Amino acid sequence: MEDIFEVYGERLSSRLLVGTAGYPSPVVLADAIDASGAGVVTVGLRRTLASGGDNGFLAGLVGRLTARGVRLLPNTAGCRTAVEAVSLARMARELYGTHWIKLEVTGDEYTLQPDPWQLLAAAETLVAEGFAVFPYATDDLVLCQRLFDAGCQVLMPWGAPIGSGQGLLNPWALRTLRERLPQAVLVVDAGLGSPVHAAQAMELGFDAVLLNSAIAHAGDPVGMARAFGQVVAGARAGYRAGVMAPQAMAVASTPVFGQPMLEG
Amino acid sequence: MITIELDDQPLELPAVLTLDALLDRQGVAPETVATAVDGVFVARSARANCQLADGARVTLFQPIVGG
Repeated sequence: MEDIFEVYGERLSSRLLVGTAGYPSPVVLADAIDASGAGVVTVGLRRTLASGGDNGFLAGLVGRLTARGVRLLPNTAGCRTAVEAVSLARMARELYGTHWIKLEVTGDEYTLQPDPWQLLAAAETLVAEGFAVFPYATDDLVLCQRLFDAGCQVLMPWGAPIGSGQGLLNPWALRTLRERLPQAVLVVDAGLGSPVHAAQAMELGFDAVLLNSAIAHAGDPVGMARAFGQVVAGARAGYRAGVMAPQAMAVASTPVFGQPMLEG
Repeated sequence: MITIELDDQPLELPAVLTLDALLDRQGVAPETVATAVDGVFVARSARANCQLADGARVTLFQPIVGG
């Protein structure tokens, strides 16, 4: 059965969203995106002086992706205030030609934890300007509720700090988000290190996962991208099929009632 | 003669000019960058009307990979 999910009016078949940073070469990046089957790809923008160019990583890739229907999701990475993030979002809309924005406002340099107050303020402004906002948030229920109330149809709580690969540090909080925000599109973003982590997120009922480093820093990024694509699809199928409830004790799976006792 | 900052570097110009004229002078294709003057975003459509005064700080942004 087809398992489409809708994001800001866009129907997506893949529940894996991938980033484009940290790959060993532009070719590996392009091949990994292809192998992942992702329909949404994150990109960034930086001051020309600070970035010094991206060594051709995006050259040609953007056109290739958009030509086959892959949606670009620019981010506001590096912003520390709502004002900065709003300004960068406006630039991203112009440069990439999309009103989709992955909203990042960092509140702590050590953990790269989002600043909830600045994030919400930026989200409110951007929603009012017609942006489709994908806020990168913590797993705080009240923050996510406020973001949803502000018009963010998609919420992207972290599984763990960016790039840490630690997996889902607080499954309880994520499960609570799913239960309390049934109308929101929930995407675990950041902290996933292996396909197992992605599967756990999907089995919690999350709509999708977004990751970058787990693929880019793998020994074989293309193979890992393929693995993530397969696992996310499989875990989603398993979630839809209904995972059995855990039992406290052993429950025999082979029916033995009525069988004769054997001797000798 | 005026002096502006372009990406944190001083740049002397013979006279006041517009932001789109600056990009043209520097050989920057207008659709490849986003622009800010004194920290405020200037949309592509507004560059022709954006006069760069002495001391103006111009910053250019470009697409890059991201997570």
